[in-house]
Amino acid sequence: MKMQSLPAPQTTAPLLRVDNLSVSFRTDHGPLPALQGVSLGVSPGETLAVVGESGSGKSVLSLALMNLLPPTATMTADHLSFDGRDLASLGQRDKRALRGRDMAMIFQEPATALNPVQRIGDQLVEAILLHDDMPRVRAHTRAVEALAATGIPSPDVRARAYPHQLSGGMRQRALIAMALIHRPRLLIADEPTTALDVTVQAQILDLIRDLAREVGTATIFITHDMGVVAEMADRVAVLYAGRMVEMASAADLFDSPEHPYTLGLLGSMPQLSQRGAPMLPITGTVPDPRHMPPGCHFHTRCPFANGTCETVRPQLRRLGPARLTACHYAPLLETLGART
Amino acid sequence: MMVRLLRRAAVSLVVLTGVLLIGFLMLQVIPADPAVAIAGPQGTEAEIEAIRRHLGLDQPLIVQFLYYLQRVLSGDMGHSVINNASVSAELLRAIGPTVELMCAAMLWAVPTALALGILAALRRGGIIDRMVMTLAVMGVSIPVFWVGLLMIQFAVRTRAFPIQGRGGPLWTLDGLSHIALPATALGLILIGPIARMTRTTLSDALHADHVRTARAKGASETRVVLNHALRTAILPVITLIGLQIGSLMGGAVVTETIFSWPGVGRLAVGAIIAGDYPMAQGAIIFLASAFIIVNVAVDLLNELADPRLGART
Ligand SMILES: Nc1ncnc2c1ncn2[C@@H]1O[C@H](COP(=O)(O)OP(=O)(O)OP(=O)(O)O)[C@@H](O)[C@H]1O
Ligand code: SF4
Ligand SMILES: [Mg+2]
Repeated sequence: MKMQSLPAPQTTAPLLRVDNLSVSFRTDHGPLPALQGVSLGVSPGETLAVVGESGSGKSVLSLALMNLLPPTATMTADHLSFDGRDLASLGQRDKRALRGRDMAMIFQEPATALNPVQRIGDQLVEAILLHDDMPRVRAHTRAVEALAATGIPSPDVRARAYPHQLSGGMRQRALIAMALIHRPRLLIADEPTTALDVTVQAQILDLIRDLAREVGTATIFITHDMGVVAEMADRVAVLYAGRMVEMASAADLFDSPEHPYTLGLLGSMPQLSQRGAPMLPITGTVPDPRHMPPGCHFHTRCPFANGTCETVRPQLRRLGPARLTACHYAPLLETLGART
Repeated sequence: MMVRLLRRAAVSLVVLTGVLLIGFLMLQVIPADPAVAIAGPQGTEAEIEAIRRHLGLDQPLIVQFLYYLQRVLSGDMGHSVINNASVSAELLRAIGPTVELMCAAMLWAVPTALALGILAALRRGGIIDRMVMTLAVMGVSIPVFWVGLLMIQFAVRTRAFPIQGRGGPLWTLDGLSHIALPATALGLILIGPIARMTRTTLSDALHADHVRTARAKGASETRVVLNHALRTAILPVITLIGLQIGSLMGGAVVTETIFSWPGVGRLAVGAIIAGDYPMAQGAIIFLASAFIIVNVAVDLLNELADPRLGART
């Protein structure tokens, strides 16, 4: 397991930055706030992991950053920039020019993310030709090379296959090849391995890391698996019920988690929780975004909650140069020590 | 895929035999006795008996049916009992106009319905969307003959279009003006179902994961809709169009009768009314086989268009 600590990422100018991002969906039962006040940045070469349980808003976050939210979504942000360019001020055409070329995405479901009636090769060729002008034959050669780079066996045969003729692992490789084909400066990977079995998962993670390192890509890696976070991340943002509750370097997060929710997430990893932090697996479920409890959104499930937590919502507080947490009792370990 | 097709063909053959049998039996039940019809009002008992023997009508039903099968397979469908014309020849003459009418109806109705469906899916809840849904409901509930009669009313008042029969070839003004009304009436029954199906499948496809992937690649919205969403959404629509050919044939029978269009449908209806036993049976068998063959063809087309279907077997 890799756990080096990196220089504080705030020192380099972030490639992507978003401040106070909120997303809400129009639904038949009224507005559904899926994301509230999320701010984050990611620098070139850096991997930012976004973790949280199912329904915490991870996919919504990645779609918002890619400008791929469905029309039922309303998105607001104080600031959203890519490479110093304000994304809000760009027209559709300019945003399209960035998408797929400078910012690419790997989706959660390899089974459905590929066009079922188009050959794999043709889907890659399309991705190439959308941003590069070259003869189709050349594009096809490049597509096969890209497939080969992901370790797909006999890539020229696979290029002629339809998605249903490939295994889940191969489909995900094809999607990765497609996402990385223009050597994007930002890669958003939304749980790229969740649908795969463990051995394939390890191979895919290596693949993303190697390719990203080779290209110097900034990566936003979405997952709910803390083991994968330990494997991949330089920094970690923890989402709970649409809000960011903690942000820290991976080393700090695993050494001394500051938010009870993070503690709970780590609690599902015995080998980590042995290192001092109490093991506290989370009970209960994420509250319905339409009926959020008052005060701290986590108080219904938090073992440390008290009266204040039920009425006063904790704001994100800075605990160190690159550390934020939203809990009244942070720093948690100190508070715990004082209590016992 | 080959195996599937062969199986399909075998099943179709069985169904076809069934159709022949049912058509045969149905016409046994109708009260008109063809021998009496041929003999005419002055025919004597003996004459009628002789005609009956000549037509094989005195044999047991199963034997009559086997004789009929044999003759049909050799292309001989008998002769009209009214004017002694060869049934096969009459049918051959009528096929052209029927195919022409159905093609003309589809030629305007399918693209129109697709366009309406696409526009409705892109602007759900908009004017076109509501129009399509209204049409879809109306199309089901308004019978073709009613529309046809309205059109004839209109044409008689305005004298804008001829209302009877077929004109010259279609590339002449005369031919076009003759086919305009029947093709419009017949095509209308396709608009509602096809437009509605396109709207439904396309609005689903627009939310599909792979369509989002296409957007993530940086594809333009036009490209996303036409190359990705529509390409998967069109498959059920093709199937539906194929299935609609059945109701189109039914509609053609009515339309041809109303507008005196010299096709198989009018031939069948005319023969049934006149009690022209061999002619009616020939026309019905022809319509039924055409229906079955079209369905197999649609299946095949679907398979070619959707690589996933080939994998099942
Ligand atoms: N298109 C949509 N319309 C309405 N609500 C949505 C839509 N997409 C997501 N949501 C809601 O937004 C919230 C966050 O969903 P999201 O898919 O981002 O979760 P996630 O963190 O990615 O979960 P998972 O780990 O299961 O992928 C959920 O409550 C979900 O129901
Ligand atoms: S603020 Fe209170 S309820 Fe919320 S996480 Fe901290 S201790 Fe738990
Ligand atoms: Mg998700």
